[in-house]
Amino acid sequence: MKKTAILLFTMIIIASMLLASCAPKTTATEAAATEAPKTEVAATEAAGTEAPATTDCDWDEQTCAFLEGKDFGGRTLVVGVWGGVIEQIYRDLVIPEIEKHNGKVELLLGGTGDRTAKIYAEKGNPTMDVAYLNMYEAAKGVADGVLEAPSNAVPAYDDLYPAAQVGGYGMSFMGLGIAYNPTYFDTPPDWKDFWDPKVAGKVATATFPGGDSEGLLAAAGYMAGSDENDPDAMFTKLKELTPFAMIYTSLDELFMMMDKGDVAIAPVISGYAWTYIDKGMNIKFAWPKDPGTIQMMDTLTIVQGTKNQDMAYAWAQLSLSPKTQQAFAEQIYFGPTNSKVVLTGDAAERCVYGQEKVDSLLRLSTYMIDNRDTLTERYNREILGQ
Amino acid sequence: MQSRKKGSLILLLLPASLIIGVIFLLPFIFLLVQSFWTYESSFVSKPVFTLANYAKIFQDTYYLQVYLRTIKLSLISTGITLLLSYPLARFISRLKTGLKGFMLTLIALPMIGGAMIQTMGWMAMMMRYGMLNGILMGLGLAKEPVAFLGSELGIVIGLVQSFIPLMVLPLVTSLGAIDVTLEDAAKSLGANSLRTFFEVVLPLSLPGAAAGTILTLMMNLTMFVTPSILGQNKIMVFGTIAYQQAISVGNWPFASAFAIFFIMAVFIFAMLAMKVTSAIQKSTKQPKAAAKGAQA
Repeated sequence: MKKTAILLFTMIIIASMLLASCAPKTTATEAAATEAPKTEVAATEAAGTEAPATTDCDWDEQTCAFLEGKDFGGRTLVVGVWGGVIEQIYRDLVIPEIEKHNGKVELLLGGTGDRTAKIYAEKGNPTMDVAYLNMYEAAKGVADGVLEAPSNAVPAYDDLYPAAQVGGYGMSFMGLGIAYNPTYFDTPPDWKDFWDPKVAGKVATATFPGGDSEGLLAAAGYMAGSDENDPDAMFTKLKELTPFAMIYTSLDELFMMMDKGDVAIAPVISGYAWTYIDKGMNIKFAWPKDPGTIQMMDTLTIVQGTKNQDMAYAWAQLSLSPKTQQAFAEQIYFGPTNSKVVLTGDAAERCVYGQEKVDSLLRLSTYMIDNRDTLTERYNREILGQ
Repeated sequence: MQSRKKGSLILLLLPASLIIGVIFLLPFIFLLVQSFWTYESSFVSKPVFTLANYAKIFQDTYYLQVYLRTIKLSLISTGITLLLSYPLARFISRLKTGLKGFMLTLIALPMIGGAMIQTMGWMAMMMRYGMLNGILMGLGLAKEPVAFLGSELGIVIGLVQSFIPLMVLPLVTSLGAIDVTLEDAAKSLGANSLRTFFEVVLPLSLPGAAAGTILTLMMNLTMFVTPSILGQNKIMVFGTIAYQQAISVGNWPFASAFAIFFIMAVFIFAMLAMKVTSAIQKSTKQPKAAAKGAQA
């Protein structure tokens, strides 16, 4: 009896550990946006039941017209999004507006992986209404029927750059470029410079799979004279860079090592390097040209079968409106996807901004996402070497 | 009378069993079922029976190496935890009640913060230019900064620190239950401190040590936060592969099979450990019985 009890206890511990091992985690790029990786449910204050106010609309004409007379009847919209500055901008700008229309918002903070897993697991009966994903996962989700295809049911959709109308509603453009220590390079490096003998052993990359590390793998394919659809070429070329000086999970650590010169070069998403550069670290950011800066895009998606579709559309309209997009561009250099946004100064310089810059980005095929399982397995074996 | 007692016992246990069943057993069964499903693409799998997920584990030595690495790191960490916890537990068990409670609270305090916070703390200390390397280089013990992060050494340090409370608590209970006069008796019969420890204290505290060891070992085997943060995902272990497959890759059937296989292995391991524990308990009871016999 005692033995059985102990055995049962042991099994419970194992099972609970297993469940715990599925706990949310943020990826490298998300860690930058999430100041402290956390998953918390934060409900906003009850909006009260007073009649919706529409007279004091301080948004653009299109958004004001769309929201006019809307009353969400005290329902709660569940939005899965990254924490940190991103969360704060939504709390400051978008949530108060939803509350004005008698709605509540619950933010589920976490990483893309958690949200994707949740959306697929809850297919047909979602508890999350709006989810922010990266563009490749969003497009696959639409194809798999777990996410709504974007449409001008959200009026701002028509103002998005065409590149932001694919998959979900593009929320921000970014480019996977190169962060480097200028001691090693007199001129801004390009992808080929990862293989420069003078930086051998001083190359860093992010954990795999993930946008940053997949981008470097794709770049390796191009440097081998092929492209991102040729695993043999990609892995053979990338293997030349191993062992990596570090595989980063946090940008803090990466940039500290880069500042000291222990890391010379690393693939980093455009928006994230500026904060560290502004701190006075010995770091620069380059927009590679051959074959190009790789397009990244955070995407707003509406979950198929949501019971709060009207609220989700309102959320999307507010999020894609020039006002919100401008705040993202000016505060964290997220490139606006709404073509009506006008940027000046630092924001214009540092963001992926304007038709020309958007067009210049290299958009990878879906090969990486379609073959994530086999590529990850190969990466574990051949690149990590264990 | 006996059967009525039994009946009410079952009734009393029912609510708790139901909760355990729903919370632990159902997900486990679902995991088992899903491990035989067919993977189609990221996050999409079909309920079509296949053994491919299990076959993949054995298709070469990669995943077996991951299991072995997990077991190796767990055993090393548990061993070190046990060695460090013993003197600490013995010291605490001898304190006065109030002070003892205070010390135990201090020991358990880091656990309140959770594994994530502790590990983040270690990350800051283990960085190339962090406190640990600063001390080592300042004392002249290292010329170059030691690469703690992304190494097995870093993982072991993190694991040992995390689970010391799990080892210390049962040890303190076990050591505290030992009659002090037994040690005095041993000493009065001419045994020195070392002999007293090895022949009296150690055997009597083994049940606590066994409980602590099993708890710590189980926690170590299922480590996830430590290897992903301190190991920087360079050192792949059971937890990190399971997470990678389930959340990053979205291959739930394989992630399930990978987990089920390990659970089975750990289960067998736990049964063996249990056998050893009960053997130890028996052997510690025998001297007592012998002593009683001698007294009579």
